Amino acid sequence: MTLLQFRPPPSTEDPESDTPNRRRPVTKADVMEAGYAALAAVVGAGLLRVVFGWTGVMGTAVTAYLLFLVAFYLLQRDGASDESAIDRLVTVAIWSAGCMVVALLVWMLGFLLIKGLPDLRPSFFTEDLKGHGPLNPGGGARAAIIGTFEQVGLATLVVVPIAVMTAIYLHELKGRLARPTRFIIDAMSGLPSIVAGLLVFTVWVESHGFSGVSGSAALVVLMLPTVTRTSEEILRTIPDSLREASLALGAPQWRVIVRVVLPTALAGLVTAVILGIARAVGETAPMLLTAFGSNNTNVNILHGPQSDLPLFAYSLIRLPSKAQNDRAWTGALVLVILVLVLFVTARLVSNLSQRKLGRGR
Amino acid sequence: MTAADTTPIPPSPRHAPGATTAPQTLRDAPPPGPGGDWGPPPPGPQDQPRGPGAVLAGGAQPATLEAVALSAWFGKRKVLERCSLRMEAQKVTALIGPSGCGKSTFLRILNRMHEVVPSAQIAGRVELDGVDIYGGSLSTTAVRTKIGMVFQKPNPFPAMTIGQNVLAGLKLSGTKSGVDLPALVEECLTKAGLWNEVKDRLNEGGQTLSGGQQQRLCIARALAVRPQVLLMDEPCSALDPISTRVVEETIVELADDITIVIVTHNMQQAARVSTQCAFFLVEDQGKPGRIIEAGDTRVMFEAPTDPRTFDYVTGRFG
Repeated sequence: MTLLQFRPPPSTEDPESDTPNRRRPVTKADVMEAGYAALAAVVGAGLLRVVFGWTGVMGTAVTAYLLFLVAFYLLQRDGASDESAIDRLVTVAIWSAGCMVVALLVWMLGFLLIKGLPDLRPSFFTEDLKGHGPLNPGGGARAAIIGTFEQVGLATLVVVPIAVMTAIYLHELKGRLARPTRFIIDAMSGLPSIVAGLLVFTVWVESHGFSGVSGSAALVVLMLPTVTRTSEEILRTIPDSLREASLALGAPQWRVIVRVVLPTALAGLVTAVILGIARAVGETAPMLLTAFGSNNTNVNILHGPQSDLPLFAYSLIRLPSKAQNDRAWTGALVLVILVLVLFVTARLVSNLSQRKLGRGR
Repeated sequence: MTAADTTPIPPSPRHAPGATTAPQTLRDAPPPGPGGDWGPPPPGPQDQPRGPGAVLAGGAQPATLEAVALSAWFGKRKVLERCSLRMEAQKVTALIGPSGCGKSTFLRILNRMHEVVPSAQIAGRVELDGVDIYGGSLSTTAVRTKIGMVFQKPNPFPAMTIGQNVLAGLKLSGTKSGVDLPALVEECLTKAGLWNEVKDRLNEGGQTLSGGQQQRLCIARALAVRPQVLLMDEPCSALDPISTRVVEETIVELADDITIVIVTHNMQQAARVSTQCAFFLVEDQGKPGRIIEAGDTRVMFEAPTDPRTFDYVTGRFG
């Protein structure tokens, strides 16, 4: 009984080999035990299902999973110490939680691809719904894509300067009104999107009619708090030592912000803006009250009802014909691809700018 | 004596021909001027002899910095009381003392960096060659371009390359003189003892350098705006012994050109680099820090008049 018994078992690999050691190799016994546990769980859940007359799949699956955890733990504890059994149990639980999240995402995307991909032809981007009957395939989301770009683009142009300057006020200048401002922004971020739509509807749309720009206004209300708070958090991550260093070189505060703080925070700020866009691009409720939607291509954002992708999907999926529903799915797919492209571009841009300076490795 | 003295240093190739020559052995620092630098300041701070090569190409001249009866508060708490110290031109003045005795605060007051803390208040004067830096004639930014600062932790700007970091001060302070920028980069990096290590990678990010190199980059950056005084707040405390040695050599060389004030916790460092010394101490818990004794480094270390100074420099406490 010495401490030597706690030594890891001698490696079976060639001692001269230069490959990294695996810290805890998964042995055949481990696989067998996991298999036994799974078997026990399935059998147990099946029995329970028969005994209690369950009809749903979900309950049985959850029971089987819980039984698997118990069986796996007991088997492991038999073979090894309590501690390592708990370690493995928690490892399994965490891995399955992670897999669950990824599976959900994959399931959603797969569903969207299956439903939307067949209709995704080049003409989907070049045609609108004008002149395409409810029963015939064909037609596309040109109107919606143009509308989305215009409305979200305009909203972003308005939001970015206001949000970044507010964030600078909140964290760099730390003005007297910083606390109330932060409070209002936090309250704003909890605003239901339909309320933003109603606000713009009452103030503007009732007297001037539907238009893309009123949709942008609603999006501004929704994006502003998100982008401002995220930007402020980004500015918080810039170490004070950089600000001190700049001040000590004789810089006035505005130059510290423009030349040091903002360039250092650039990658994070881009991410903040992308997050805001991603939130705005999928908004449907306020757009119903402001942009309203249209089957025709309306390039003029200032006047007349305008479509966008969420409205396109929403209005078509409610219609009874299959052709219309297919278009709705394709529209949703295009929307997701758009968001994905945005995220990937933002990542690439910020990675590139960081790699150039040897950061972010 | 210390390990650093016997550690073989890689041949330092930074002494480019034409660079200012400096005493190679740090102990050979020139003896300080007339004894009793401390005390009532002699009239006329301009009577300092200026060594050869003392004037920087840009024309900034070393200046004497003098603090007169400086007190400081953070909110209601008084942290410094009536500290007077004369920091002679072309000398290295070390501020020593235990933690929390106000040396860093004192240093930051010397270029108005304490104003970053909104609750900080001071009383007294700080004079740069007789001009009060808190008087109306100098703006905060002007003061800080004349009196530069190097911080405890190396803080190169991550969004800039090495070259841009050196020139950052010019851009940040808005001094767009028609100087030859590449030459300025080389000159400042040479003075900071970094040129040979980075001359081929000026376009890489400042954070690709090692900690010691980053600190020398920060020194180069501070030099580029041609300050008359350079304040250093424990510049070597985050560095390994070899980097410390290189930075110390740099400090001794720079002293020919500009006035240096350095805060250090390291007694050996104070002994190696400084010609004058000031000992700060909080005498009782809760009392503000005061200058207990100041003067020629050799005297301070070998025959201090105050017993507390003796205890501190000999390692009895602190």
